[in-house]
Amino acid sequence: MQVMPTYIDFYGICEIKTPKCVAMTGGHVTAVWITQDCVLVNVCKPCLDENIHQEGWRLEHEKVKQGFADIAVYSEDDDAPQIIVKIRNTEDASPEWVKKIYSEAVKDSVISKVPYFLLATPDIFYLWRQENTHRDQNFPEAFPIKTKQFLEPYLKAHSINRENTGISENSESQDPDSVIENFKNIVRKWLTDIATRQSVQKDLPEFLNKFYKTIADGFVRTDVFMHLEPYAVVEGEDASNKGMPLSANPYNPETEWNLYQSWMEGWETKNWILESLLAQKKQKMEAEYPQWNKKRDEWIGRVNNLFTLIYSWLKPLEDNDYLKISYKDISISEQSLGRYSVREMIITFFNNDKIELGPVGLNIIGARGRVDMKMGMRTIGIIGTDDDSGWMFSERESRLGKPKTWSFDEYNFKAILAEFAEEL
Amino acid sequence: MKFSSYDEIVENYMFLKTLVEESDETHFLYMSREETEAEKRAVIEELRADASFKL
Repeated sequence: MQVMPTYIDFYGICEIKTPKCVAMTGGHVTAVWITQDCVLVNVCKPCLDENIHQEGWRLEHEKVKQGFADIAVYSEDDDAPQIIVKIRNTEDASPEWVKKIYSEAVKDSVISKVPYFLLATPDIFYLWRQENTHRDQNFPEAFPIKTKQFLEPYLKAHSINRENTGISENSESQDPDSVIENFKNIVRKWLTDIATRQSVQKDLPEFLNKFYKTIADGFVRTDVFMHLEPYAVVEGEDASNKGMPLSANPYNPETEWNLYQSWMEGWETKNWILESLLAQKKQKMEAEYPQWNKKRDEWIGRVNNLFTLIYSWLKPLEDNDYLKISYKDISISEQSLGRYSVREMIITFFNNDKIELGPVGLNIIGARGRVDMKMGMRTIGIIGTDDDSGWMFSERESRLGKPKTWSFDEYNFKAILAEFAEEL
Repeated sequence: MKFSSYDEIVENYMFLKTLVEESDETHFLYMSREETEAEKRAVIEELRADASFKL
């Protein structure tokens, strides 16, 4: 007999009144249209289930099939489903069959917007992350995971093996309903343990880590009509709400999707963009690495040559004990060149006043490197150039305008030292 | 420079701040990238202090 649900749920008296009825004198019911008799009947969930199984009621409207979840896990604040589970007793399923089940399920607008969809079969769990289905109909690929990878401890705990009570329709000793009910209970137990954080899996791949985190602290419900949602069986702390319509906590799929989408965009997409950008830049840098290495070595060599030249100019003064020249290793970090070590020259006069010649770096705007000559409060730059001498003096006299420059030679260098010596 | 309203002072500050932030590297000849950024930050801080004083 075909029956068509109206999607209306309300408080009323069940007209079917099977032994399992929960609304004999009043309770949560929904109205179904019995096509053959052209009558509208109020029915509670247990009676609806009972009549589907025993009396051959067949839910006519496709939408109900699509909107039905064998198991759903709702988020901690109970406002949105995080995973929809469909249980099927089919082994060695073909990829076409898997795709068909999924595509039929996600025709439903609610299911298509839930972050995860799990098709649980006795041998394989097909887990989808539904990040792309909302905007286009290119179905994402499922993550296939061997069922026993997750359920083995539960099967052992229940002394279940797939041959006698499992989860296979090949078992002849059991009727198909109880086989699938067993399987459903095991899957529900597994999800409940994840939700209550009792199931801890180590070394999970990233997508499964995210899946575990998504449903952590959630509430597991079985036999949920995603459209009507009136008959949720609630486990955990929320059990006091058993039988309450989920509409008491209105689910707004658009809001949930937007939140999910923004999460995806905020973490996944941007993270992916960032990672891909970094990978691209790193690859480029690594490709240029030998070239930059060469440039760095050449720069260090030029600095050493500069110090050698200056030393040759100052050697007579050092010999006469007017000053001493020493060196110190300093570390410089530059874009592309990375961190490297280079020498700094220290000219110490007889009265212990010092002039420090410290390399600043190779990457200098408008120059091929710079070595700063620090003399108390005054700093003169020795700027790397392309001409024969290779260097020139530069001093910024004001914040605005181009710095003053003059040639780098022994005469000018000693003139600067003479100015400094006047203050000794 | 005279300003006829508080908004104008703020707008002037925002304009100068953008100008400094986007100013070309050639204004910072013989400076390293870190020095350029530090210089820009210092100039902006001065502009901010100046605008705060005017307000």
